[in-house]
Amino acid sequence: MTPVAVAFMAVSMAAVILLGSVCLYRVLRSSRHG
Amino acid sequence: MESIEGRPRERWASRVGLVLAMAGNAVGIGNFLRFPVQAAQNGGGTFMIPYFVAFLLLGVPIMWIEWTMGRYGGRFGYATLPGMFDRLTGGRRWAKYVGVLGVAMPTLFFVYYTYVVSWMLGFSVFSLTGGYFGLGYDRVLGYLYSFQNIFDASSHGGWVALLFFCLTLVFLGRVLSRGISGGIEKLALVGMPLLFLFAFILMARVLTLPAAAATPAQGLNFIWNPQWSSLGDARVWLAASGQMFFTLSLGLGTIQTYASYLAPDDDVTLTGLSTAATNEFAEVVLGGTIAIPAAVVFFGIPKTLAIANAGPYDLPIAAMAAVFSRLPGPEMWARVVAFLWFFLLFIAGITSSVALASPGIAFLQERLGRTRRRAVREMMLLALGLGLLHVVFYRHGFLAEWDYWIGTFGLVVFAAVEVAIFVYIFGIGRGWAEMHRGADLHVPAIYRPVMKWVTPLFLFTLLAWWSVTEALPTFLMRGVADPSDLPYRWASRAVMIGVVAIAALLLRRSWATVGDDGRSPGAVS
Repeated sequence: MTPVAVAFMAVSMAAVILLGSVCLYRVLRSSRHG
Repeated sequence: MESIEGRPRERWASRVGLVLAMAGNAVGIGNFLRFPVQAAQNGGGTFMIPYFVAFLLLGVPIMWIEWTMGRYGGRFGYATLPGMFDRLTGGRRWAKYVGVLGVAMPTLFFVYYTYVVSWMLGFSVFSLTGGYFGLGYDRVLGYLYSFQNIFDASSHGGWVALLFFCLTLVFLGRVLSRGISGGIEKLALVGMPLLFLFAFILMARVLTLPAAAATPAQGLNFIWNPQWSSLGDARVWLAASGQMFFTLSLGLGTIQTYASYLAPDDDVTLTGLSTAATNEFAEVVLGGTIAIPAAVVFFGIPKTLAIANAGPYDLPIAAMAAVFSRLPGPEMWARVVAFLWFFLLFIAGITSSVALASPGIAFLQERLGRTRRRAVREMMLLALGLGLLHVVFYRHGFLAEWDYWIGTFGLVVFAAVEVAIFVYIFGIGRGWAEMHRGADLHVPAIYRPVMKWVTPLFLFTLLAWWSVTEALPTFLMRGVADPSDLPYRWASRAVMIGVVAIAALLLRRSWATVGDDGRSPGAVS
């Protein structure tokens, strides 16, 4: 893989994983408090 | 919680169940197949730039609008769009008839999509029995075509495809009969973790494949290597926008029906975003790492592209069957891996199928006062009856017509209608307030002008472009290679129009007799 391809893949995957993790954390937190 | 008629409405039992059911609606066969092909053909890594822009400006706003519409309608006892549009527009006469599309489209989609899903069940079984093992790609393709064409008995009897279709319908009928929390939610709670587990196992297997025509890294490079010039190509931006509709299941009416089973103060902003994020994970992380890299390893890039362009099911079914049947190691392990792939697609499919069936079932309950069990039975019989047309006439393009007009173009048209009603008739101010009712996430204020101006502009540009470049030539059947297919394709369109017309007539009759006060006549349970 070219370094640029690796960078695009890593950034894209990191973005969706980060979004998913933050959402999951907040859902679980609000469920616990709710 | 009760509806306005004082009858109890079903509710989701847990927030996790709701997120997984909604994610199950969104995560479908396309996540694992359409996305990597689109990325590879539209700029590789740079495709992700328009893709994420479309996610933020088109996907997320429309998703929030649909969730809000659904919860708002549910407050008045409505689970389908005719009633919701009637409420949102303050009782304008035309609105409920436009809303009929939000029942007819998912119902028609349910029929042909479930038939395709049943193929995955069939190939799951053929994988375990080793039915296609030992055949090369060309013969596996023949094996698939024989399965799809009931008049070709070279590999399968004509009844085989019908048997798997019936089995899938019976299974879906049982799930749907048990209701929202007892059926759909439980299916999601079991199915979605299983889907992710299977996907991780497959991903690990694909990434550790020994080099053949290419290496797994070259397969990933094929998807992710950026082509900067593509960023200036309007078609790439429109392809990324189109992908958003398919991947998030927007413009169909299924999200609204699911969201109608929320309580009036349940959150929609954070929960909706969570389902979108789950879908994106399945698409970007898992979808891009299985089918295309595996095909590139075994076939090389030129042949993989040729297979992907030859037919929508050649790559996911025939090519992947050929790939897995040639895995190094014991054949039993190869059979298990092949089973995991096809059963993963089956799970992705059925969790979407139950969502697609839901607006039609709720419509039968709402407008005709059916019990849930009876409504499900009628829906399954309708699917069997209409599905037989696909089983018999598949080779004449019967299914391809529905897939284009409903599953491709129709989504964008209907999403444009939804957004216009929500933003310009219901009003962005009321809509914004309704969206934040009970919200666990305050949507950034920038999204208010985005919803009012950017999303509609994006949508109508997409619609205008597709109308000129694709819809018109498709309508005129310019791409149909065999003229003998034309009558079948016109008949296919006539059936679609007939179903929409019947749904409109049922609505008109029920509204005139019991629903002209704008209230649902039946219990939505």
